[in-house]
Amino acid sequence: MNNRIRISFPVFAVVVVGLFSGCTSRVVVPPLTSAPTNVEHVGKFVWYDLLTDDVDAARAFYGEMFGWEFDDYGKDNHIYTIILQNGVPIGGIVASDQLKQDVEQSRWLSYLSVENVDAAVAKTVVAGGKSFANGTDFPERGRVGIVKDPQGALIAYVRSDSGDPDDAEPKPSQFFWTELWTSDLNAAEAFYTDLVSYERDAEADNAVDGSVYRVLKIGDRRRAGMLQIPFDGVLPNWLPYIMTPDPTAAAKRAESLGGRILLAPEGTLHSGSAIIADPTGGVFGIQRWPVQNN
Amino acid sequence: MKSRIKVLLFAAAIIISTATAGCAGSTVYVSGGVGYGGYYGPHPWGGYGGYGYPGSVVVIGAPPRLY
Repeated sequence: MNNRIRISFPVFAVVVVGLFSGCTSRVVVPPLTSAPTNVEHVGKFVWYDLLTDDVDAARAFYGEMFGWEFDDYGKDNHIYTIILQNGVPIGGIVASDQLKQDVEQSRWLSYLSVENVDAAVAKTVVAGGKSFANGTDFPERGRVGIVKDPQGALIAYVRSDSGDPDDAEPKPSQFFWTELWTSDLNAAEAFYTDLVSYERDAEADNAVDGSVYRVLKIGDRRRAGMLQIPFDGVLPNWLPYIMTPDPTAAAKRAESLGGRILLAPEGTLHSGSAIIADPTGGVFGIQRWPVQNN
Repeated sequence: MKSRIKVLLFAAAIIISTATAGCAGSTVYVSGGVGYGGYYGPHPWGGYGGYGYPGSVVVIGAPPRLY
């Protein structure tokens, strides 16, 4: 028996050391949900990552704006920062200097729950989009793919190992809506309808002053919005919204914290929304919700 | 000799199972691996100019009911 121990221990020790030395610079992202839901909501946006060239500035801004807290995963130069809102993980922050290439300006990346990431990536490419990360497994998180859709909007597809966040009425300072600003509304609607079986919600369609806004749903759940880009200089993108009780006050606060107002509340219906760039360049929407028609 | 082989096989089994369950599966998320490499390009919000037109509104944001 002693011989067996003497023989096996050196082998075991060498290999274990080797394993750990190969892992120290690696980052494991946590699950999408703090507790498994084991339910998929295909067609729902379930996660948001901020890619930024200044994590500290981003943390300071969003922490002040929304009371978010942050939790770092990883070590050394490989940190993935989880965004917590009242202790609930709602997104992440990735330092752009950790990326394979530099990011000129920061941006938010929205994650759409799909049934099959590989099939979704393939369908996107066939439709004229581009894949930047084919389906890849992340332990605990699930399978993720990153693409540009046929009109050029960046989006991530995810199939979560722990299930998707439950549907619940949104709360202040949480992401609660995601909409596509696109260069070809009809083509984009057709693409995403085919991708995740959306249906246009005619009841929620809205047209004011020639501005058309389409709402896409699955069953009776409204999952995403789409509009034709109304301004010169804006390229296709998915815009995440954070619930805010008072958009006008929030926009002023954002400015005082170094953010920039791209679309002021006065330029939106019932002054209920605004579009803001954080000090590092990440752009997001804010909206008062429930909607007030006055 | 047979005992030695058994012990080595046992150690190998532990090592393989450890690797499968832990580090070997720890895909690099943001660095050196899949990351987000290559998606960059012009920022979708351009020069961050102010958008909107005086006297008009755009319809954006979530509808009054989600579920």
